[in-house]
Amino acid sequence: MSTTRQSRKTQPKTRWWPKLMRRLFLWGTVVVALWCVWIDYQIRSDFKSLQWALPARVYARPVELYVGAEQSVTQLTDYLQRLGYARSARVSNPGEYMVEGSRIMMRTRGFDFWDGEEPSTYVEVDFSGNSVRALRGGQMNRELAIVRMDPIEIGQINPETGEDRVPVPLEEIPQALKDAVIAVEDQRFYDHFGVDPIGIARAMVANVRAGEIVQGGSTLTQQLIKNLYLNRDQTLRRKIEEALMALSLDFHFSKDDILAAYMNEIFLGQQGNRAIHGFALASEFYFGRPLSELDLDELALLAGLPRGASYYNPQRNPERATIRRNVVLARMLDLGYITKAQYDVASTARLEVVTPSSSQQRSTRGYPAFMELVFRDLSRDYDANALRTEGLRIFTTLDVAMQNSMESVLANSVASVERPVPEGGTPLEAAVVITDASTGEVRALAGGRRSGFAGFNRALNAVRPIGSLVKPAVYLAALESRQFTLASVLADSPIELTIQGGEPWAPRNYDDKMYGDVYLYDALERSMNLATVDLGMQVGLDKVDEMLTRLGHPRSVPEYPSMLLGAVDMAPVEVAQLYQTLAANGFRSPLRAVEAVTSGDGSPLERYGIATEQVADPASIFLLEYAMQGVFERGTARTSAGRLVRNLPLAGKTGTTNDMRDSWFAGYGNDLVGVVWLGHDDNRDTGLTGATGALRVWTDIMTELDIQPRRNPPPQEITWQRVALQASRSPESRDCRTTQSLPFRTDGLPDIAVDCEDNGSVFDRFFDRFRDRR
Amino acid sequence: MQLHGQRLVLTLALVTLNACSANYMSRGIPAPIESRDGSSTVTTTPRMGRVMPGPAPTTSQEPAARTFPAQTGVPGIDDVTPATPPATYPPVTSSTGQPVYSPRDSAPPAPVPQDTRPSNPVYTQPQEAGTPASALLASVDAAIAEGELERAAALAERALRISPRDAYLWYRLADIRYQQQRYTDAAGFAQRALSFAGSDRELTREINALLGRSNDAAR
Repeated sequence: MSTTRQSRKTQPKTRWWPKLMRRLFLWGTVVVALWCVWIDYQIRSDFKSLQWALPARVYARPVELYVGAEQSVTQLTDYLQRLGYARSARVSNPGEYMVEGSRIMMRTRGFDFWDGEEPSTYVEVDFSGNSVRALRGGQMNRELAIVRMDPIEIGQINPETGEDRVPVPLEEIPQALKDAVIAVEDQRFYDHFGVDPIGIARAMVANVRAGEIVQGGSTLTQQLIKNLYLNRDQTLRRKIEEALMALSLDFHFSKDDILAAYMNEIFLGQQGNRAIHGFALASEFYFGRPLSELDLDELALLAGLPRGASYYNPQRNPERATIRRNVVLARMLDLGYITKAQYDVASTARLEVVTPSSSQQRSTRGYPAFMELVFRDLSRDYDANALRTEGLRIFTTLDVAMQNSMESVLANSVASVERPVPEGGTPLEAAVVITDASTGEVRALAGGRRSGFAGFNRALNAVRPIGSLVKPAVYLAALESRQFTLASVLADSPIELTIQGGEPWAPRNYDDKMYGDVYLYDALERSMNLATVDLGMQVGLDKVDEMLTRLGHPRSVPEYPSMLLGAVDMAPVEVAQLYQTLAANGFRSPLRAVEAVTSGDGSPLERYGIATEQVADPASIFLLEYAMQGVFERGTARTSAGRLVRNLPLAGKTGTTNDMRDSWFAGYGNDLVGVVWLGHDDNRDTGLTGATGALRVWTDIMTELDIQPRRNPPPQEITWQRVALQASRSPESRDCRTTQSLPFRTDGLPDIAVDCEDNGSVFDRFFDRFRDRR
Repeated sequence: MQLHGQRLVLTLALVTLNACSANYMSRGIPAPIESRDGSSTVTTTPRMGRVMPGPAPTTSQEPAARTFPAQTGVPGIDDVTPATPPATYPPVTSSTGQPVYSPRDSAPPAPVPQDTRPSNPVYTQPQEAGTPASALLASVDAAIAEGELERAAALAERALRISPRDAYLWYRLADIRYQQQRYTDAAGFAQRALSFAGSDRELTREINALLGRSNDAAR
């Protein structure tokens, strides 16, 4: 060791220095060359496979216009504003509209739907009150049968990077925008080879003259590289690498490819954790309109943003943004891209951007509860990564107008029924599910009383006992067995049941009263617990469980007698499924939030159509519904009848659980099914019954939505018969002095003990058969 | 600006780079923007073919208030058109003169409709022209003619949203599912159609015939 060291020391410097230098230089050249090859390889492969992760876009159900459609001038105007249509003095371009009294004129933008393209067209809509009176349009302004508007985007499923963009090919980018960007960022773009020494020199001179940085020396190519590899540190080595990459990029790819990538990649704004990339999305973001609809001044404003998207943000710093816009315009004028006249007009135009306080804010908050349902439905068929990166378009069943109306009353309505909250207690919470009565499409959803806010989604995830909401299943099972009629007499009297190895169970009525012998329909209308247990034990717990399954409950229920009174746990959305099947007259259609999925370019991928299966016979359903309408007329929901005069008859059921922990109401008209749940997250008692809590909220919502009355024509085998007003168990005690008319199956007439039909004449009986009480 | 100091190095590097990259020149220039649609890892599992129990006894009800069609007469046997429309089926156009549904560039070539019912013509009801449902039904016919049955189903469902109690629309949806050989679905829609058919005996007969075929095929 020591000898070697010594021998080295003794060697004269002049002998080893040049040799080492030569070696170092040789190896250095090899290393640099390899580095170059590596960078070149990297940039080529990266750019070639440049594939942005695109968020899935989620759309609400589009408004359809036709004669008779429920739509008012105000509603359609709101809708157009949400879509970013511009109100103008004359309608010439897509996305413009004007209002004249009860008439709206517009040119639609057109949209690629799953079932075909809706072309952009001129439309005139005449309204009379809350409906469309006439619809004309097209070039000849003839009558149109139906026009489908473009859909409102209600949210995105974003990539983890938070980057959002709408990539567009270069041909779809207005020439003026390309000119503006080149003018202000890299005027020798088409002449240099990736880096631009001349441009740098020019910029330096300009900056020195101006005393501040007015021009940059980076080419568009270099800026693109910086954006694509944004996370790397800005070291000297990195900068050399960037320059080399720019040279390589410019060498291998055309100027148009680079410009197109730049236009789509560049960062142009931030909204929460969503990063706005690319000019097409920035156009939507700042102006609420597509690039093709922007004027020169607006394009120039966008072109000024890459220099500092935050500093020149037109929403927050309109003055700076205006100055910057005019700098861009001046550069364009200098370089001959625009005329002096164009410059004069554009540079004095008023800055009009979408303010974050209006529709943008709403769409940021969005519809988190409904979106969770969408995500849950989609995750059966799509993995999360595909949803975050493939740019899918997801068409949902959400009715934005209905959702907004529901939200507008929900918070106040819940507050109006809420009992004082004790110190440290959680506030009363709510969940609402509204579906289409015919097809099972979910049209509105609230996961909490303040429905615009993300959080625990009670509509999907609060699985609670449903109380008396289970009773229609008990009564339907009874009516279907053919052993019971609406006039069957039940015993509302004390009962004690002992389950094997369990405590004896002695249910009570809610009001602690006992009603003795009661009619079946009356027991349901007034929600009598003891009579229901009497009925359910006769029908059989297995039959009730089976009925719940047929109506759409996904899990089997433990068959204890307490299930008859609602010791069955369900989420509000599951309750909605049961009542959906009842509202559709015994046809079960699975609830749906997603209708169709297309790829980003509009080609169809998957459709989730209506499915329907008959699970209960129409006559039994009709009889059940007689009693469920009676809930409003005579039963537990009659307190709301006064407020629903315009909407009755309706069918529904109240539900209250032990110690008033949950307050439920589920009901339906011809068009809608609505389920409302109220309760505390800590399961504390609410002090509310179904009637004093959820029913009131339901009524507030349904009067706001103007639910359609329930008009259900009786099936052929239904007949009407008179029975004694008082239930009795033997013909001897039959009292036909006061009677009532009830529907029966022709092969399931009332028992002789209550039948008062014999007391009438033959003519009366004949007449009764054809009498339609509703 | 900060890069200014390194221009000399860069110019040197450029020479090297050109040498380095010369080998790859022949590979051609890719179009980066268009490549985004290239790979698709979407997993689509069709959720179809719900298994249903056998047909439940079904009875007719009085028709609900119809928003359409105002029938212009009792359809006779002359109103029945062949299931597979002739090849010269007129293109469906909106009143603007623009095609309502234009074929998509990306769509696969339309498959020849599989005619599973050579002797089972689609029953047609006269529709009042100019109503939303009649316009949509015209599009349904056109989609069926092009063999795009799922698109036809989507259009029929759109019409049903406007007229949810129209027996004829439910019947058409049942017929489309039958053509798609989704027989249990077809039976479900046919039963739904029956429940709204009311006193329309001709329609009731057609629905029952379709229901029978669907139940037979589903077995």
